[in-house]
Amino acid sequence: MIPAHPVISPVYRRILLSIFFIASLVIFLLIFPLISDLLVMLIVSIIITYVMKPGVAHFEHLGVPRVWAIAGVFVLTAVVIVVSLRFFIPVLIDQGFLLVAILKDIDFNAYYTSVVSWVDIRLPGFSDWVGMGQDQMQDWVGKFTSTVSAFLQQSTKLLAGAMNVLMLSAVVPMLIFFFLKDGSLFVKNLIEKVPNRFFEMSLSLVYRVDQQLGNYIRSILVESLVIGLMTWVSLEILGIKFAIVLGLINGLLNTIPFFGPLIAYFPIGLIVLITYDPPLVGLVWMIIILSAIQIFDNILAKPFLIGRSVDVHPATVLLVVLVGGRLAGALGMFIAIPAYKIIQVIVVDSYNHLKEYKII
Amino acid sequence: MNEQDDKMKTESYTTEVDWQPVVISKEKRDIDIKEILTSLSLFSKLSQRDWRELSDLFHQRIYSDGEIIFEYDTPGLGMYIIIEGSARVLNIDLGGVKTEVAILNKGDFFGEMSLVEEVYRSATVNAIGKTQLVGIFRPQLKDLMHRRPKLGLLLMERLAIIIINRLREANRRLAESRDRIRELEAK
Repeated sequence: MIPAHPVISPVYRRILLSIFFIASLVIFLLIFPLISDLLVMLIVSIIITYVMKPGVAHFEHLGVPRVWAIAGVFVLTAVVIVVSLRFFIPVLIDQGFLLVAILKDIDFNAYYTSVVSWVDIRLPGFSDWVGMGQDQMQDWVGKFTSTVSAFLQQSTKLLAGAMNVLMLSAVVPMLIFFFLKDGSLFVKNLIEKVPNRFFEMSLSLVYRVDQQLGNYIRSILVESLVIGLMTWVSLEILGIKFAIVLGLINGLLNTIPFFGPLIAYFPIGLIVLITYDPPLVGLVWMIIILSAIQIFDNILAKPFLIGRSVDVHPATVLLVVLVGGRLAGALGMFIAIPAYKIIQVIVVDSYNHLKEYKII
Repeated sequence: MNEQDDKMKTESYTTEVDWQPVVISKEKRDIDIKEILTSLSLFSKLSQRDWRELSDLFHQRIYSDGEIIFEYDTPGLGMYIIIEGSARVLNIDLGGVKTEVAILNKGDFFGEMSLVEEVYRSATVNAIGKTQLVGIFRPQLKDLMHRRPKLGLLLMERLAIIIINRLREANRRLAESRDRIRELEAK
């Protein structure tokens, strides 16, 4: 006699799911400050594991035993890091510091006053009408500066905390090693604890989520790298200063769908305006280059690398990025969408599997 | 007849269980499992390294009497081998009527088609008495094929032979049934 499965009505199911989501979110928000360092460390390890995994599989494919395959990938990664430290990072740091020094020396108030007076000559009384008087501006600049610095400080604190742990204990490489070596055994042991009724569903779910996450993380990293390199090379060719920093900014912002590439125009535009002579020519070139890169990204890179997996509504992107920013500053904004994507894949696939296996 | 046989098997199995020591060491259990699995053509004559690699993929499950192992029309993920106990295979026709088609025992395996292709289960299988199974599943096999293509190919080849043999047997039975029907119609 086959026992009949309990049937939950759709209304109750929705209520239960909503309660579950809200409760999970509240718990996450509550415990996040306590475990943020560890969480960042764990996420970093998982991301690097996903990046290294195909390399290990490739070595194994060639007949190399797993431990040696992992060692081989570690050595290759070390070579990449050493080469970056030798050639790429110093240039990046130099450019970064120089840029910060230039930005510090600029009198934004003077710029603003000249712009407002330019508008005032053409539209008399405009600045008073919109409440953009000199005092108001001082106030706004003050608020903006403190918000930005607090925002960056939060990220830096979070990153510094994780980096501290990283440097002191070298936990991340060890975690990556064990994830690569025994990750599948760990999953197997975990699934062994699952009740029989959910066993096949859980196994299928774990492998699907693993596959999707791996593809997503690898594709988004490759995409950002390609965009960053393209920006760097094209700006360098045009003789725009700080091309490497601008490439990094564009590559990073590209991880935020819809808004990231748009936001990128502002910091890059500002730097071009300050450093390029004549500024307007530089600005036009920059707009042409960034737009061309975006067209390339949307027509060729994204469909090829990510496919339809970036199916996130613009409103959701905005909300998620804001929540990420609130939780972990600028760093949070960058990892918000990948983190949301991870949760979305898990939740959507879990729901589909529960239905397919006739559990709900 | 089937029911009586089934009852007898279940009873003899229960007696066997009663005489087993209460605690079986993990090593002993693993040796038993290895013995049963290597007696199957699918896993026989493998090198030590291949066996080690393969045994990492096996999932051991224990089902109680009547518990469903998998259900008709759910996604098939892999095959199971019976290590201890028995399993009942139930076919479900379009009208939803369940018919018992086979009783499987120690050393038998089922669900092998879904190791090759993503198919929905064509039958419901449930445990008779306490049943211990070892399962091997498609995602892990695919991963193994990518990492260790030689071993993966060997397993796929053996699996193909098993499926071909089962198809041949099904064709033979079908031909026999046709002959029988013709004979009955002639009478």
